[in-house]
Amino acid sequence: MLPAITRDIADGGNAISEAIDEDLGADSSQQVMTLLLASSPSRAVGSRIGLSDSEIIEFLAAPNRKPDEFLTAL
Amino acid sequence: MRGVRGDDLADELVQRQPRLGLSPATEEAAVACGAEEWLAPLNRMGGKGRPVEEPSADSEEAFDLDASGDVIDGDDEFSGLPSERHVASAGRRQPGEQAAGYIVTGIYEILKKRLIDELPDERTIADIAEEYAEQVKMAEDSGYIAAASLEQITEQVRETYPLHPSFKHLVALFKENEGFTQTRGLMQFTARLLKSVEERNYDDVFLIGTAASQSER
Repeated sequence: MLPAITRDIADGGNAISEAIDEDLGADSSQQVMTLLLASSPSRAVGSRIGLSDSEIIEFLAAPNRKPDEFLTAL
Repeated sequence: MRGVRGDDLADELVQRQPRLGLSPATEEAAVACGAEEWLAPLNRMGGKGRPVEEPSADSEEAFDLDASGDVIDGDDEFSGLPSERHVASAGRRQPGEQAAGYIVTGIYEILKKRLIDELPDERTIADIAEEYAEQVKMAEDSGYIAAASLEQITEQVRETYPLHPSFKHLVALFKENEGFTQTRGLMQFTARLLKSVEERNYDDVFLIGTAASQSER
C-alpha cells in the first residue's frame, strides 16, 4: 500500500496528485485521491470498491470548496 | 427448522421470544391511539424482524451498519433508544423518518461523545451547515449530483458535525474487513483522522471526512 500512496498521493511534492495540485494551486487532487484510497480497502468478496464521480463531488463538498475544483482534479 | 430436535426447537423458540417486539394487537392499539410513529423504534428495540444470532465476543460494544451505512444495532448506550436530545428534536421530523433518525445519528453520537471534548456553539454549527448545503446545492444545480433539499442537508450536518455527513457511507464500504472491529475500529480510525486534521498546516477544515486528512510525508 505504501508504494501506491507515495506514487499517487503524498511523497514530499513528488506524488502525482501533488504535482496536479501544484498546477491547480489547491489540494483538490490530494483530497480526491485520499477519498478514493479510503473508499477502496474493502476485501469482502463482491463488495464495492471506490466511488462514482458524483459521490466524490458530494463527499468532498465543504463550506470553503467549490465543486468545480474537484471535478477539475478528477 | 430442518433436522432440529423437539427440545432444540423449544429452546430456539424461547430464545426468539424476547426478540419478537410488539404483538399485532399492541400495534393495532398504538395505531388506534395515533402513536404509530413509535412502533418502528419499539419493535427495533425488541428485535422484531432481526434474525436470532449468538452474541459475539465483542457484542457489548459492537454496532452494525447496513449497506447504506446506517447503524442497525448498537451497544446499550447507543442502540437506538431516543435520548433527550432526540426526543426534543423529534417534532421536526416526519414520523417515518423518526426511527431512522435515531439510528443514523447513533454512529456520530458515539464518536462525538468518545472523541470530541467540546463543540462550538449552535450558531457556528448552523452557519457551517447552511454553507455546506449551499455548496451541495451548487453542485446539484451544475448537474454533478442529485441531492436532497437544503433543509435536509442542513439538518444532516447539524446531526453529524464536526464529521462530514458522508463519513458513515465511507466506513460502510470497509466495515466487513477482517480485523476491523466495528466500534473499536471505527473509533481508532476516526481518532487518527481527527489527529491528522489537527496537525494540518492550515485550519481550513469545517467538516471532517477522510479526504481532509493530512497526507504529507
